[in-house]
Amino acid sequence: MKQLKTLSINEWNRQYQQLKHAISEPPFGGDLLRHFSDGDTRLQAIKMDPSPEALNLWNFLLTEEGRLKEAKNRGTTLIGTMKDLGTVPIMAYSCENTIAFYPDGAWWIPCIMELSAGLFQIADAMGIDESFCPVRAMLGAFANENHFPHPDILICSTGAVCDDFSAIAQRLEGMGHPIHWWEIPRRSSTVAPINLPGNNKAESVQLELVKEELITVKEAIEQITGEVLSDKRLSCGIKKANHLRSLLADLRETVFRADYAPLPALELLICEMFIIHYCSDYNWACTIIGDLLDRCKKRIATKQGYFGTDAVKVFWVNPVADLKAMNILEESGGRICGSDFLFTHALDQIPTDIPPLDALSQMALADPMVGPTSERAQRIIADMKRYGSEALIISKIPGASHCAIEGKIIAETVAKELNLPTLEIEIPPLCDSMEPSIRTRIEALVESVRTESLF
Amino acid sequence: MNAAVGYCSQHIPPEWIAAHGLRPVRIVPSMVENTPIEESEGLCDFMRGFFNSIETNEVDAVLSTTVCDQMRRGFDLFSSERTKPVHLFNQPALWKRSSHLKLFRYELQKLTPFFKKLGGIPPTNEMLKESMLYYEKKRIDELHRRNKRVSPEKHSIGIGLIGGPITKNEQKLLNKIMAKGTHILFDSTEYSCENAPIRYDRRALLESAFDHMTQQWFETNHAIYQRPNTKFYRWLQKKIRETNPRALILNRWIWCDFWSGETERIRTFSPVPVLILDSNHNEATERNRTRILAFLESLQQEVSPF
Repeated sequence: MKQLKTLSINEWNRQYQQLKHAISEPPFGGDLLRHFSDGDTRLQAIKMDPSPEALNLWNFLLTEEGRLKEAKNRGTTLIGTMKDLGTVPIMAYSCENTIAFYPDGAWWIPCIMELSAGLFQIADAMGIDESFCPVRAMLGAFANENHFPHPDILICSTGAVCDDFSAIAQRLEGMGHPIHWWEIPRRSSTVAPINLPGNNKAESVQLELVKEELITVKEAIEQITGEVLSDKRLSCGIKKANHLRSLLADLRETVFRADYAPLPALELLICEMFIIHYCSDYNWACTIIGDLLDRCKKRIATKQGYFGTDAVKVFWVNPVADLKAMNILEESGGRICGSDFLFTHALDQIPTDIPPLDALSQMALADPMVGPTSERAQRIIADMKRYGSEALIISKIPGASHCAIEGKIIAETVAKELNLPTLEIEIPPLCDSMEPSIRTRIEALVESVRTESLF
Repeated sequence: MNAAVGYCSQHIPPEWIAAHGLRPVRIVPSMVENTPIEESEGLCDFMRGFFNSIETNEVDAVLSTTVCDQMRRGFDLFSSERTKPVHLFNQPALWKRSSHLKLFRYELQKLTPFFKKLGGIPPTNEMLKESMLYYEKKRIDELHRRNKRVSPEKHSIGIGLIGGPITKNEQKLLNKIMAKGTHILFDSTEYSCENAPIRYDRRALLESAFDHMTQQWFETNHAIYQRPNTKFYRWLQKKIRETNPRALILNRWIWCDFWSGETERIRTFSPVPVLILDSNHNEATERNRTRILAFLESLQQEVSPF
């Protein structure tokens, strides 16, 4: 196997100077160092894949704010969708000249900008302190208006969602940003259950309720865009979503099942994040994921990859507040083979044989966060078996209300059913001060798997 | 004896449980056992107290709700190790559309099969009506008792209580303190009878007691977790206007995002000083006692500088 090596931002910049005349770049292309100069200083601490496709991925991610501002200036309708992670954007992208994005994504700004944006300080001043999860950065981003343009409408799911988000969104409304709320009930399957994507079940009454709620969302989008969201249009939107989901599914399968990892965990995490709102541009999201998939297939065919076959296959639960954690995992001898970043419902294909709003209701109720933790654990177990994961890491999101208990339930269920080692670690937005401890704990996990495999 | 159903939510009508021939028992945790839910950073002590005291309470079944992440996840953990039948009541967070009332109604109806397993009988309209009137009287009596107990003396300081549930220990503490020159003008902490419907409409009871109960309990709800939480602020404004308190005491449980998230807003909203009490079972009471006394002392100095 030809061993690939990740690059620091300075190494990437040197490579870019040599590459730039030989590659055709998208409109958001350019060297990565400019993002560092613009304040995304965390880039200096992380290592990146050296391919031109990864360059596009990073540029696409790091230009989202600018692309949103340009879109707003062009008169594009911007829909700020919050918490549901994948459902409302499908409706929004069914309209023309409309972009949906998640202001929730501001939770990564303190990491990317290494706290220099002062978003936590703004939230602190509003009484939203560190007992809340890092998504509190969103309040600061709305207050200082430095990060994303103000959306034309805010749509937020509530009910069986995390309390941090619900409380923060409520404060946002209190700041004078009206929100169209819609209810997502806690998923239950005791009466007349109906199958959902992802092997879950929900009561028919709950599906009816969510459908009624999504009708109000549809009406709100229609009002703001002046377009009619017919079933035909929604079906087209679902078809588009399914296309990108199948590309991502292919990429995940390719990476998780390969003998050597053809793509680092960090780049794969970012690809997965694209699925919820296409990083504000559907076509480019498809292109970038498709290109990375091709690159991975070529690498496998030419026996190129990262790490040896002794890299321990780790299933990772929850997104990391600090991107660097993904590098640490790999430097400690692990590789990602399976993940649940809180939106597995956005990975599954949406049914196309039922009316579109019924299909979207099913998808919304399949959210792992709205159901019992035991059901989330069962999906994790099924995926761990599928990808041959050898250990489980649950990254706790600091302050997140759901993390205080769910990790214990998931870890215990996995340990009981698969008899595999598990580790729960908290990853703060900047994990430098805790890095030695995080590294030691992951190394110990990796060591225990390797020791076990000797016997 | 009829089966006892333990519950804690202010939004589950006890009359509905009783109408099935069961005994509603509101669980007020007084101490925290360390099992099955162990102490851990990020866990609300009230939630732990509720689930961990179920074993020591003489209840045959447990009714929890979905109002917050802590209770939902606590239910997940508890139900995996359950020794008693448990049911999770899906409380809608929204309240403006008819679909939310429909969900609340559906969830109440879903309780009947659960109660039947405990030996309960689906109530007739007459049975439910009687039960509703019984609990209505109980709540009115409770309010009268409280108002009588706290009849103000000269210079007594009127306080409005808001926030999360107050446990037995803290209730004792408050009673002690309130006996000394202060009185409670209103109480909307989560166990308070002021959060329930006060008077039922007799004519509506005859038509459909269930419909009336559902409507009343849904409309009366002004909880902080509702979205938007404008009903809470409207209620608070009305209470402040009607009773003219000298101060508010906000009791919030550590790690309760709903009350913590609104604390600064309540401070700004309130025309009178607000004392924040951070509660957890093991450490808070002594600290809170000092904080309340200091707060009241400063208020008393405002009344009489001598």
